[in-house]
Amino acid sequence: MGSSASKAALSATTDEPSEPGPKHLAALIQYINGTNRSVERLADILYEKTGSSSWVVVFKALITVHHLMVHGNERFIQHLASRSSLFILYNFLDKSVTEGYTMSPFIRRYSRYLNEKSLAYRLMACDISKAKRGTNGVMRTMNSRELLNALLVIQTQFTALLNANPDEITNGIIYAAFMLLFKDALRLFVAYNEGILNLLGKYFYMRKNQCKESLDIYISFLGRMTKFVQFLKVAEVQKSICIRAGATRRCGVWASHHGGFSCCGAQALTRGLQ
Amino acid sequence: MGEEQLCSASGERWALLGSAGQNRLSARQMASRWPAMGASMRRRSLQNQGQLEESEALQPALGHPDTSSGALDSLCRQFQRRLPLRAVSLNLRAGPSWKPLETPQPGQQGLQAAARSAKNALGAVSQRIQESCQSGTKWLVETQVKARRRKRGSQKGSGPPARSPSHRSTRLSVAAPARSSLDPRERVNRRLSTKMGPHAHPRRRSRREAAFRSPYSSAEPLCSPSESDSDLEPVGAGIQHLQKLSQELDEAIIAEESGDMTVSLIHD
Repeated sequence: MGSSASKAALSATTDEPSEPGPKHLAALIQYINGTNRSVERLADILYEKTGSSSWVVVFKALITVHHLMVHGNERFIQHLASRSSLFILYNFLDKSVTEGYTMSPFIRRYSRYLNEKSLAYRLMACDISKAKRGTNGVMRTMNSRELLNALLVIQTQFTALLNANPDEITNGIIYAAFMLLFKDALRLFVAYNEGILNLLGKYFYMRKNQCKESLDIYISFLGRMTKFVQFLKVAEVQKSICIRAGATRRCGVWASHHGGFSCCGAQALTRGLQ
Repeated sequence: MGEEQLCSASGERWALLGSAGQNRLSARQMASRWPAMGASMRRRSLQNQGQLEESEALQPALGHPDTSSGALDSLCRQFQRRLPLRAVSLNLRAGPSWKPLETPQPGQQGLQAAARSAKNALGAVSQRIQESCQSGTKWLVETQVKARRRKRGSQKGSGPPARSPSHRSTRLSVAAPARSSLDPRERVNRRLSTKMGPHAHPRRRSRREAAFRSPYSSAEPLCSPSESDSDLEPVGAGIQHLQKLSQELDEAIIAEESGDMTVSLIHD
């Protein structure tokens, strides 16, 4: 690994209470995308940083990893998915500063989402948030068995993402994390939605056990829709985010009416099983 | 449950996705058989016309006690027009001696061939329905409306309502779509072996006419249209809603990637 890349990784994860510097992140992206050098050392450096006791260092390391997963070459997330251990921050707590108490729960949830993101890549052998969308997309053209497996994986990842939603954004570091989460949420939800559309199209031709599983997935999807609307509401508060009004409104309208839709739809599909 | 345990549990829950192949009949291959079946039936009926004219001796006289053999002839003629059967030697003695259907004779092989082709054609139609389902669920509502209209029309008319493959597939069940609909035909053929009286001919004829109008016709509707309408309409509307939502979010993602949206990881 080049010295510039290691310097950039160390510079992006200092204890300065600000988001990782854009030039350091750009240098890391350049290292991953522009060269064929191993990313193992880079991942090791960032992994070591998550062992720090300071919430700032840990948070910035997680954000750097997430940034490289989203913007970097697929080989980085591929390497993370192949590692034997992921981020073990389920009991992280920074007691040294007051802000540590408020940031630590979010760091725990955020690290769990990154673990799920890596695990999803391992299970599906691809980053579904970067997969082809649309009528001829990956989720629309899957067969029934693969679709059921894929939807379960997406469901778990999406749940972890929604759980990592911060209730309020109080500093630049959590803002940087939220922006990456927002980017992932849009793409993941589109894949989830397209999978559900494919599932509903295939429902009447499935076996009974598959239908039961499909119905459970469908009901779970409805529940996650409500949480996704709340996630978008948090995003709307941020002035720097200009969300397409149609999409948000559509989510809101759908969420407000989905009670009727979900009841009728789920009842109709359930009656089909009897 | 700790975060790590959750992660490990999630990792053990699923195995790697494997490839699952799904055999499907070629839609074009099966669809091509459906128009061919009707043409083959018409050709066979024309070929048998010559045989019918030679064997036709008595005019059918319904209700005449002395022309039971003539009535049988008329029945055979009508069946031969519709089914590719060869001429059957009539037994004009004490009573009709019909050979059992369980042991098909060479004369009835044509019927089985026609039934087989109808069964294959059913698969073609169900395949087409499956393809149309993939584009959306508009047909869910449309077919139910058609079934309702058909039932209303049949209730006003005389014949039994015809059952279409789309109507069958909209039924909220997990039954395989390409099941054979030989029951109406088998029912009709078995009726041939039962006691045939001159008074039963008009009713049987009307039933047969209804059956032969379409190979999928049946006397019983599959389900209550009103109940299925109320079930499927919100599902169809919701699916259309989801499709529009998917399109809008896709546009939002494209705009974000192209830089039109004022989103940046680290704001300036």
